[in-house]
Amino acid sequence: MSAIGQPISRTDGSLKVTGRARYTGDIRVSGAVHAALVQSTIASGRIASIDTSAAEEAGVLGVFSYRNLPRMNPTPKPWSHLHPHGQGYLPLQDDKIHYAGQPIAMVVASKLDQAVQAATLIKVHYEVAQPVVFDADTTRAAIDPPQFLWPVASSVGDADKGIAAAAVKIAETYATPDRHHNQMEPHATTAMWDADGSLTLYDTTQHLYGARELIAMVLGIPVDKITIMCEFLGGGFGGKAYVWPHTLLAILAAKAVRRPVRLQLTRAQMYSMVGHQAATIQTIALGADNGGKLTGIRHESISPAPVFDNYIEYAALSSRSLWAASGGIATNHKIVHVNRNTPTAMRSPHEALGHFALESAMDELAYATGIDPIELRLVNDTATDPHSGRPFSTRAMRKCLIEGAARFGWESRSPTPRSMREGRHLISEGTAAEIYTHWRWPAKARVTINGDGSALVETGSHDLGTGTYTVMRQVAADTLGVAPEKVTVRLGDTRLPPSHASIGSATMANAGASVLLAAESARDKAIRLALTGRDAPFTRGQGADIRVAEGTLTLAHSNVSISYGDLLARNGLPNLVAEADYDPVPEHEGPKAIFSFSAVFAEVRVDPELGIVRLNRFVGAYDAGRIINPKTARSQAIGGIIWGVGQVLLEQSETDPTLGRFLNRNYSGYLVPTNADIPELDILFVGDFDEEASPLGAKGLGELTAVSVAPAIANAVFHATGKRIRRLPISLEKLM
Amino acid sequence: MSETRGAASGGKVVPVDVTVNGEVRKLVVEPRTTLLDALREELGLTGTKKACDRGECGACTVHIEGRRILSCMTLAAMQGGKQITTIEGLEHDGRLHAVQAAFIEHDGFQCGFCTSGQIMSAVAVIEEAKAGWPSAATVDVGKAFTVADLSKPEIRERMSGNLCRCSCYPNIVAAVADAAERS
Ligand code: FES
Ligand code: FES
Repeated sequence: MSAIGQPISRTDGSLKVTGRARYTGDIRVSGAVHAALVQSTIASGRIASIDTSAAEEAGVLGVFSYRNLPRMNPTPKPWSHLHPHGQGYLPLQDDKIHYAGQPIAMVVASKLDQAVQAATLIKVHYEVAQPVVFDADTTRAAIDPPQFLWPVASSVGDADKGIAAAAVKIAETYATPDRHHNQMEPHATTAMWDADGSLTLYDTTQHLYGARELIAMVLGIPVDKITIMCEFLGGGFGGKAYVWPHTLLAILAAKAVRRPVRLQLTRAQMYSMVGHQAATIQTIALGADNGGKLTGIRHESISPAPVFDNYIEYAALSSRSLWAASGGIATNHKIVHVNRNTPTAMRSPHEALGHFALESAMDELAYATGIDPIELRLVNDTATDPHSGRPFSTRAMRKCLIEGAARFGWESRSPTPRSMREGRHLISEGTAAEIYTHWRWPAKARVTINGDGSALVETGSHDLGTGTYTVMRQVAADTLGVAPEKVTVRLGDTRLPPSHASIGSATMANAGASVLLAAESARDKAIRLALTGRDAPFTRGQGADIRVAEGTLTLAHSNVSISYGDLLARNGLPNLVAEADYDPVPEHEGPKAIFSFSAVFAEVRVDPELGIVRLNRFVGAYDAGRIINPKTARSQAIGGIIWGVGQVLLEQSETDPTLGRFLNRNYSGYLVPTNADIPELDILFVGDFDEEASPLGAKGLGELTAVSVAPAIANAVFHATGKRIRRLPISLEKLM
Repeated sequence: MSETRGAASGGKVVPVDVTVNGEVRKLVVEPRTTLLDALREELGLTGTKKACDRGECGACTVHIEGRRILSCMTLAAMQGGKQITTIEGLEHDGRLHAVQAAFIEHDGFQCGFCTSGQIMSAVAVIEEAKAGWPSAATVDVGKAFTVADLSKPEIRERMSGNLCRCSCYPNIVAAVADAAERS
């Protein structure tokens, strides 16, 4: 039986339910000491004086500030996924203060409590400048940033002309707030140096090799002297993909005190020591004919970036490819430099922000034209990517809309706002569709077939909770023709064959492809051995008729067979090893446009007096290509939906407008969904094998599922209340 | 087995004997050391996680005398003579506890970082239901609560002190319901 497609339970399950899975902060290194940080209490200015004498006298191993920390090399430009810094401005290098919570000193002591307490003894005097924050005033001075990931602006046809000539027009502004990842696992690093100048790092990372390159460049260490390990990651969501200042600090501290150094961020420090999702202010103009067919889309977004970096939230990206518009589509992004730390990718970067605006606007268009929201989307569906002009590899948007609507029971919905009730509650239904970028990245893997019939998969990918250990086992098991239990998977170590960052929902399609190719190569080696090796059971020319199953090679329509174990023994080999190098052309250079799609449906219940919105039920229909493991895929989907529930109803990092600092720096101030907030969630996978996306037929899923929850629920809230909330989150005061 | 660990670090230290997962452990801790830090740093029991260190997330949940407690919110020095159970102590004779098995079967976790706390809470939730404790979700608090009353809304309410940012909530509820039914 094929393992691919089976809802196999996680192979790392027993480690995780017994507490035996070791995360970065759990790893004990003998002789390790602890670092604690001092952070700036102001958001802009400079350090006028810093007095570390009391801390130095507290029996600690080292106290560091800009005055004595060794200088680093500048972060490489331009920014690249191959050597990605989280933040371009490096810690403890000068006396400047660019953001609140900026690290300005570090204490190393043999015990954590001691380091934390000594850090409180450091006296800092500042020259304070007025911080610049992201608000209505500063957005007026937004600038055109240099390109970061995609082109900053796009224009196909003449969007403005198309909109001007339209029978129905929508022009609105939407806003999304700053948000923080708040992974349950705080970022942590343990750094150790060997006498020969090699560096070993346990680090909470979604991108081992990118981290290694960046650290090598910034700290001037040869790449081959750096080993980074991360076998288990306690959630990433984009926030652990790049190198943040604490990792560099731990490495330099370890060198200075000649001991392994552990540095774990506190929950509050995670608001300024690492990235966050930047707020956006988006304007959308849609034009359509009376039948709802779009004649033009203009989508523009402004987001904040720090004074030293040009990070862009590509919120208008979504509008480039989701719907066809006969006149044209134009998008643009601007940034405002403010006093804050650098934002970063957060599930789902760019798309989840842009879709809130675009798919809310589509709902406004549905009401303006009197066309059912599902019908409106069907009318604007397209087989060709409007942006690149290429055909989509696969696009099951129709299936998502129709099968999702049927499962949800959309047809019984009464379209008039405030028309559905249950007791004193307003009941309502909303929908939204979505498109998600597909990344194609190179990846390497190694597969070993052992003499006992077991197999080993090795690749420097990561399991962030996404199920990588499990799905790679399934891919190798099927390809080699062995039972899944016979396959061991090793991930999370730079000594393994290099893979790509585990971001952008790219792991299954890319790292998975490298495992597939390596397993095929190992299997083919075995077949060749069975044709040409010692006492070969098969003869040349029979190669194409040899099947592998249950650890045995069998000639089709015959009884002639040999197990992997016997084959290796007969040839006096301990094992067979094969490596593969998956090196796809980047998505934008290929003949087809590759994206994942979905349509989602939400029923909410609104208490009209208290303004409380509760999710009653939810259906998501997803085209993520072929699903390798429906159990772990469904878990990713429910996780994404709930992530979206947080975005639309709860999450918001508030900034003090005068002090320029994030205020709600913990779980009691920054609300995330809890168990009691979530009803049953219904997941449908409607995609087909997509050969352009990956030899495995899989497209991205994890991020996709968090994209259009916000507009679906916001649209349902309008249906319930007649109030269109265009500024997230939909907190109660906005409905009262 | 008993052992003495923990070292003075200049400040005052307190000796305290606790029973952790059935073994008496002799600790020497500073008065300010939380039970969470003592478990993780002094006893090497890293299954119990530190995610917020201020009582907001449930990742550090352990049992003291059979009741679920946030170990980041209680001091090690207060636990003299107490029976403490951590995630490492749930297995019996090498076999998973029913709640642990149910979490695997229902995929009640993704990254697994909140999982120790979720499972320790879930085990306690089932015991609390058996002991007849109502919750904020209990419809009729006048009637004696039994484990059969542990509906999904009840489980959601009782498990809401444990955050999961991977957001496995529906699967956690399914796992707890399944384990409760088998208990
Ligand atoms: S670590 Fe104790 S409640 Fe969060
Ligand atoms: S499984 Fe990752 S936080 Fe719960």
